[in-house]
Amino acid sequence: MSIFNPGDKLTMEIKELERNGTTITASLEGRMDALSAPEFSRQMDAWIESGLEKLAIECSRLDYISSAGLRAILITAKKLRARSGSLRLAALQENVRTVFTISGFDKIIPIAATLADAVKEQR
Amino acid sequence: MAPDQISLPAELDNLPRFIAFAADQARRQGFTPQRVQEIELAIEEALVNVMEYAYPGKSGTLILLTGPAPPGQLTFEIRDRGETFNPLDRNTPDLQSDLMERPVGGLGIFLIKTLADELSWQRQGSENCLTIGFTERHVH
Repeated sequence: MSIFNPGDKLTMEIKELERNGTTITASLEGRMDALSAPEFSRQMDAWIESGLEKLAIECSRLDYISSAGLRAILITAKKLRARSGSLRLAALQENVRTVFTISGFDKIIPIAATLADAVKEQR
Repeated sequence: MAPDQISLPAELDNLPRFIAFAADQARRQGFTPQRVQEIELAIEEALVNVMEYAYPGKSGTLILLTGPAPPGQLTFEIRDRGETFNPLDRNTPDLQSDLMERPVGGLGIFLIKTLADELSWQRQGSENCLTIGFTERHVH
């Protein structure tokens, strides 16, 4: 089922799960669309300003992504790469993964099966 | 019978209401949940594009409407009274280059072209009319 409710506004949520120096693991939930993507970008910029270099995001509860979300992820990945860090995603739902595949993002953003795998690959 | 359309100011804050309308129409036509979400995505990309370009520096209205269709089919029209602008007149984005060389943007129209089964644009009098049709199928 589509999870959309007309009463919802910003239904995206990003949570910091663990921070270890310049490494953060986080989770991303809900709908990442043109309305909510700027909130993601603001959070990323705040983390990058506080020294973030390596980021792994668990996406098993990310239900929807549009090109605005892809753009925010691409910009973040470029900023982290420029600091010799990286952005990795984990546990994408099938429909979200399809959007990554169509857009060719699966070739530039490493996607792991689980968050533990993403963290392992990042070391 | 109430017309199957929604007309609101062309502002990003209204995106959820437009998308709720589109999803509702798609469900009513019996599309699978997966296809409903693909329809939501294509319609979001089209609306956001029109919102960005139709009324530069001023306000205006967007109309999203559907016509009668047999089950498993659905055609939307997006109408605005802004300047003449064909959003489909766009090259295929770069999907190949490495992370640091990959351009930011240009994916929205490409997603619509991938997800929709019918797509056309016309200037009709003082209106831009973008037509986007869907059938039940799996894109991937």
